[in-house]
Amino acid sequence: MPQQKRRIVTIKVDALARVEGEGALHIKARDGRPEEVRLDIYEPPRFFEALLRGRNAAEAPDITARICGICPVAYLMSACNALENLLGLSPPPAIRDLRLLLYYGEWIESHTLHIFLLHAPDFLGYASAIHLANDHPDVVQEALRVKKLGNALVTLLGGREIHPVNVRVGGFYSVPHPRDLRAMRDRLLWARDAMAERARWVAGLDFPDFEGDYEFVALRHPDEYAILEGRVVSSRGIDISVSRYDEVFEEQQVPHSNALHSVIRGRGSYLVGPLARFNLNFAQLSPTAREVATAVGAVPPIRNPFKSIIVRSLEVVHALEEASMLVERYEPPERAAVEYAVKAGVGYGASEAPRGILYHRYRVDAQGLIADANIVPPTAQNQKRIEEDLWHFAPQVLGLPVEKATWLCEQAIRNYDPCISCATHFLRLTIERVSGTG
Amino acid sequence: MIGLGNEQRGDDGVGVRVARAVAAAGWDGVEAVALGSVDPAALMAVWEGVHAAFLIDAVVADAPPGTILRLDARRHPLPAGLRTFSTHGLDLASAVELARALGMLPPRLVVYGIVGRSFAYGEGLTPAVDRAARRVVERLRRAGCRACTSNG
Repeated sequence: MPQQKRRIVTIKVDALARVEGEGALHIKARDGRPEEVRLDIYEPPRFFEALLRGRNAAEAPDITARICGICPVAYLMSACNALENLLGLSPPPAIRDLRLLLYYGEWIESHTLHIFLLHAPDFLGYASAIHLANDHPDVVQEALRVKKLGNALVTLLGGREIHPVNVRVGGFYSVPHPRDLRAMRDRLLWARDAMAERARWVAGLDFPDFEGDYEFVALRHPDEYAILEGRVVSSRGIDISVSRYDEVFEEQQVPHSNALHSVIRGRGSYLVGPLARFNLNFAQLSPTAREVATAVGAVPPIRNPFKSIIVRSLEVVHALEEASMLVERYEPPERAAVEYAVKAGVGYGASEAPRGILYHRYRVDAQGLIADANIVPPTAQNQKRIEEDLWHFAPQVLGLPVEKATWLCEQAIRNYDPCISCATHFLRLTIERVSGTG
Repeated sequence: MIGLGNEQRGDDGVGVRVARAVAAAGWDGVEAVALGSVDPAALMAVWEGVHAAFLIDAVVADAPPGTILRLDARRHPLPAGLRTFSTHGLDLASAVELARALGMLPPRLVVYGIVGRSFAYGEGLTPAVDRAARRVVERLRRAGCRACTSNG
């Protein structure tokens, strides 16, 4: 029998760049077909859930917010939702508005950082945001200005930019004066218009031709593009309250990662984050965001994960527009927080972090101490899906020169804006080519 | 004067230590700021409109702990090999180079990197790093006086 030439290609990135945290990518392919795809998350596990046991439940928002310096508000909100669910608390509309506003601040910060400093350079062939800034200083300057506005919202409502300290179960420790919020309106409207224009620019980038067969999962709320709370829904029929999350989703351990992989029980991987929210809740985006989306032909369903950068830019427009309305209508609540009595039981909460659903569950004893906690961050939910994208995407790029293939694989990972510190960090890639007979 | 770092991580807190000392000294025309992470926008906002900015951060380098590296960031790009410790996002060198690309560096920008030894959890500087912090404060005092004098 004649011997056939076999070609083995290994793509290895030992430390992924421009992602939050530490991870690596390993792809091994034979004759253009992947045999092995591993997204290794080697950032050490952080044991937050164990750390929470025995702590007062009221501390959960502030403790878990320390999991992430990029999305601490998401942790504050999901923790408050879970504990307020247990306590049967429902903060009044003015408090809810302030929480939304704080959350929009975080979305604006996180999304602009990712779009312009981390992801856009990929599409334009720049090795980093510094190279992008050399050629397009206006783009980067504007992005930094908008990001700063997000930071300002978080500082105003949360007390400081990173790891805000003003949120508590039942509301806030203190609430702002309406004058301070109204003073932000014009800047928010300027930013909305600037980002609407920039979203058109983003939509004009070149996108690799690739689509995934995803089950999209996001929160849905009857009155708004869900961010603060909602039911868990999917593109294949899931529609449950957050309290049933564990019945439908489960976390699995994999040997190569310090982050757990989430799956839908009996079905497999799913996708959370901007594409899922956009595809499931498009009609609830703000008028300007929808208008720009329609104008650039970004309408659901979008199944090309590389286009998540367009959706993020539309979500920034949405956040800015909604925030401008919230600062306008704000009237301070009578009290900064709703008081409550300690109660034993289990509480479930979720919210839409910039990267997707963040789920918290707490079991609390009669003294108000945490007996058991479970936290499922969005990057853990997407991790299996990222690997599956690479299984399907790799054959398209394995014929390319190694540097180009590596670049595209890293870019495919950055589609998810993975927060490895949350899931637990992120990527170095190496490509090894082996040819031989066999 | 901008001190960077995290006081909960041993020698990483040296920049913050220097910022506190400078703030306590209350020199005329000198403002001290401590930042826990490198946000390029925050850095640019801090040094917008100033005559001179001094950045102090812990560094890891092939030199004994407490060694002070002085870099004139206006004249030369920060070396890519200069690895500063940063918990999130961009490191200091990237943030400074981003500002340079945007034409947003202050007229004078000096970086003092203090070589650290231990970045483990917990407060407190190793003695050599602590001595270096005091030396840097003294150098800043002299530099600050010169900057004030030269600018009227």
